[in-house]
Amino acid sequence: MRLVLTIFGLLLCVMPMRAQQYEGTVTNTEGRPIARVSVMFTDSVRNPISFTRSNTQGHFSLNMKTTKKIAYLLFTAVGYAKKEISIAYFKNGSTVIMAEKAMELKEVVVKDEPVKRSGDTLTYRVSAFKQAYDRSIEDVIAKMPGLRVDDKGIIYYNDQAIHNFYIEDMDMMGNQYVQASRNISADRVESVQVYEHHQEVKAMQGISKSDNVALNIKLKDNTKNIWTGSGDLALGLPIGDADRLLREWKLSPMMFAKNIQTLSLYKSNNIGTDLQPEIGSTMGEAGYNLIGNISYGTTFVDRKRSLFNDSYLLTTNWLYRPKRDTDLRLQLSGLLDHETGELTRETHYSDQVYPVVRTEQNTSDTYHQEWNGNLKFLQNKSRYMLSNQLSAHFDLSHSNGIAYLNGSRVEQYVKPHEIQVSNRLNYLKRIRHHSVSFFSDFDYAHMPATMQLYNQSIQTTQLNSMKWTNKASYVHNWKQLSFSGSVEGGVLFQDFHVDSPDTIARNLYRENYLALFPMISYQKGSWHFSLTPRVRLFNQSLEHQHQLRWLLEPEASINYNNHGLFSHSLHYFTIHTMGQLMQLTDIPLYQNYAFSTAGTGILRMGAFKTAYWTTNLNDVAHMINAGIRLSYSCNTTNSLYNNRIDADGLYNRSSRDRKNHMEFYNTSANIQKRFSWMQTSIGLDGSYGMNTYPLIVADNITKLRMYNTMLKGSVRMKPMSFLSMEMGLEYNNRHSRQPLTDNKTTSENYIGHLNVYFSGKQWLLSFTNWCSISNGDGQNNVWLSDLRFDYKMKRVDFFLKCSNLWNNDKIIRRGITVYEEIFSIYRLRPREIMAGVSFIL
Amino acid sequence: MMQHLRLNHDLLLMKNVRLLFCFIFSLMSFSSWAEDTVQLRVMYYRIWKVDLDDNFSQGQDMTLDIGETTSYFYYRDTVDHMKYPINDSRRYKRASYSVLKNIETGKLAYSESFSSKDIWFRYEEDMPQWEWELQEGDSIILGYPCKKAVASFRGRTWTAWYAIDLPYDNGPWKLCGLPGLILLAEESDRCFKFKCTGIAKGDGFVIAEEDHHYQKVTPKRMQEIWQMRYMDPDAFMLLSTGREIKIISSNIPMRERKPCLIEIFE
Repeated sequence: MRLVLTIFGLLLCVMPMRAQQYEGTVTNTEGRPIARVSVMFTDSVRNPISFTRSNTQGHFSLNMKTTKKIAYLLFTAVGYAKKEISIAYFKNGSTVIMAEKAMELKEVVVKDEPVKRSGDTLTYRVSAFKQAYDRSIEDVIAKMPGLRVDDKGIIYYNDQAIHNFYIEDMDMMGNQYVQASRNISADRVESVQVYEHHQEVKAMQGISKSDNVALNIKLKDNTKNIWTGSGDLALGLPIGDADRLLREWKLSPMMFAKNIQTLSLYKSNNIGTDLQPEIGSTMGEAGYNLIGNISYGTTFVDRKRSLFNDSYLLTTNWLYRPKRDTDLRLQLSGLLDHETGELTRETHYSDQVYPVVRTEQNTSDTYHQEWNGNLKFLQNKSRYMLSNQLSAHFDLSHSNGIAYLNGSRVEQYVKPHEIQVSNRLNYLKRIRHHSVSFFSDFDYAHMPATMQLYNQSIQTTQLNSMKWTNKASYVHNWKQLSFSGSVEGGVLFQDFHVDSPDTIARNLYRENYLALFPMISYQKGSWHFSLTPRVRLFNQSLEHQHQLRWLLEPEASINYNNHGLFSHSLHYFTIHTMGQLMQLTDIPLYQNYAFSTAGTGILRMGAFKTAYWTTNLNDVAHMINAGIRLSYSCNTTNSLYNNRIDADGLYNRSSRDRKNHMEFYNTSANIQKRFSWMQTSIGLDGSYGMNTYPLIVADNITKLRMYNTMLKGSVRMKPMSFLSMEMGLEYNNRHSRQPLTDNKTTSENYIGHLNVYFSGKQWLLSFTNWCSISNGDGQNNVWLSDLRFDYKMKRVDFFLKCSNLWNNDKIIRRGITVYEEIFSIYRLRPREIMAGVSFIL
Repeated sequence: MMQHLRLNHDLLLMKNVRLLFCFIFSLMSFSSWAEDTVQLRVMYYRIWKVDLDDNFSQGQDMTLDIGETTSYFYYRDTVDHMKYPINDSRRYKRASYSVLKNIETGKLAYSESFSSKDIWFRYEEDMPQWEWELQEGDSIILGYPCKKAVASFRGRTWTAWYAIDLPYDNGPWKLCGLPGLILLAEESDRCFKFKCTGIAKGDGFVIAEEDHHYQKVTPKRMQEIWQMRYMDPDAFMLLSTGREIKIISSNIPMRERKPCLIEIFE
């Protein structure tokens, strides 16, 4: 009996496992056999259990051994409609007929990774970072992990300013790339690429390692090879001042083709948008103007909030590529700007024997007129590189104003003109594994300036400066070693003339040098070492003084880079600074109407030494970007100044026969992490620094310290499809001890922002808030809000915005230096309403 | 004399007939290639680990072009790949490897370049037989319902997600053998992953292997070269610069790096 039960039990177990043969033929509606049809056996919920394929005769066969219950047979083939048969209705050996049907693909939205790394190239997909409220590509770049954009539009990657800005791998913009980053619509860009270790000279690729970073804008296909562009037109009124019409307009035609690129701009506004950053810095190598225009900029609040301007900008940029490796670039720009400034300032000096307070109430009109031209030829071939760049800059600015200095009325007038011309020639030839190069840089500057002083007398100055530098280099590679040697010779000639009621004087300054730059570097795996013991023979002369010196300027670095994931860098260098003419000349010179300075009149040399260590993590897979930086630097300049403020508030700075030795210690860290959850990104930044300065107080030299702390956190997220948010909080602290009293002075403030964006299919409502809270001392807390509504159509965007909703009129801030405590009142733009239209051409 | 001329004429005729035959034959062979054009273009993002002891992974965009009997899996540039035809070299400016599958011949050609020079190593093998185990599991990838399957292949265990609605017996790299197109495949040690990022209809271009200077090797030799790249870069450089190929023996000094192999040829 037991044996019977056991056999019966075994049979029960084995029966479902018994092999079952299924076979048949698959044909089309015309009876022709179909090959490679997938025949799937599924359970009742259509989970595939097993499958086979039909052969060229359309025959299929499968010997099934499974405990699972087969419910359906599913037939699929390319070009045929899917067919399903219940197993109950399927008869072995039967023919299954499939009907032809073209396959319909679903509308697939290509979902890529937000950031991808391929070797030294990082590709950021713009659509992954762009929010509905982002307009220009600069807005989106600022959101990309590892990238940062400062208020002047300079782009940084891991805190290193980018060296090149390409559009479709063509360098049309040079150092004026802000025009492109602020005016190319984010909707037109497919991706942004970062090239690490970018070697722009093709002939040097594989010979010389570069630490430069370049950024490349990859456009969408529908933007290439056609004329495109955008425009804005907006009008408005400030509340309570109906006589003043506000306006902003822009027209920017552009074209990006394979052989030619162009971008032009015509912009104008009187709503506080500073257009100067779009043409960048134009300071030449030959020197800078010792006299500046009247300007009351503030770093306490967004410049747009306190700038009263009327600006016009006209630029055009062209790049023509007649051959694959040849570029011809032309850039022209003009800026006309009228700025109305207003500032009240009270400064307490603690380096004077008696407490001194200086008060100023200033109003000014600054007229800025600037014209720039740039023509560059480049042949960048794999065997050689030849480039020549000719630049010209004309600045015909002037400003006038009224100042109340310690209660006395003073009229101001300044006319600092500049003419600068420069030419840079560069030739490099590659010969197998080594290269030879020649570089020549010529700069000329003519800078006449006229200024009305506190006593209504006139000071005229003129600086003519010429600098010519020539350099020849040789680079040779042997296995993992790279040797290079450079010989550089340069000459600088400056003729400085001052004519004021107190002084009529002229200084001639000349320097020439011959330098040797041997360099050895070694690359092994992820490690890279380099050493450059620079030697310079330096000759200076100021009037009848001459000085000949040998200078040693070593530079060394150790770098480790693990596939771009981790990079560490330890760097040290020393460089001697020749001293600006301002520090050398003993001619008293007024730099503004009530501030005069005079150098030692002695030839002396300063030095700048720095050592820093950086570690960066750029984990694309986990979307983490982090960095730590420790740095030490010391700057020895050739003048230590004695500051004196008289009862009328006149500031006089005279040089003592002592060097000025300053030290800077700084540590900073940052981390950014992006989550796919609610498209959240979190950023934390912090820095702590200590600076030491020598100061002459009561004829004694005192060493003072200033401590700076900054902590910043930010969160960006999109919790719902119609809602996006940005918020951040920043804390700043500065403190030092006063020279005579040893009292601690501290300056603290908190800055926060909260931006909320509601968006629908065609509309966007933006509510942005910024606030600054300070630790009393007469400072005010400020909360500034803007509201904007956009209605978007395919090519046109209508908008209505109201800025400074709460109509705050001023911001009062206290700043400290080691010997000053400065209270400043800046006027803010009032509540303003604008309506306008943005369109895509 | 006439006979001699006649003979010459016959010879010339024969030569011309032979040339014509060759021309027709080449046209036929060309047209047979031309018939297999891209029906479906599938974009993948491949992630791979270079070193076993390294957490760092690299990523690259790849494309799978599927025709009637052949398919080609190759590197593509993120943005530009669509605008260049398949026979345009710009399309492959940073190529890494490619896999050409032919279901008609049952052969697979694998080729790979390890350096910036145009030196490619290539081998052919029979179409791999994947022993897939169909498992329970559902997912939706790019809007397509997908089913799960697991298989062991040359030392690694792969999990694949395939779309029944796309009845192509194909996938990235050498992956194939399922009743639907493989849209996601991941190896159990998480060293290798292929993820579908886009699907488009074919653009009518001919599926053809890239035109490179190929050096024929065996799969085992390819693996040795791959290992040499990380374990003995000097020898690898000698090899990749086009000089005489050395026999890679087991006495190569081993370094710290442990390259990840996607498949192991014993």
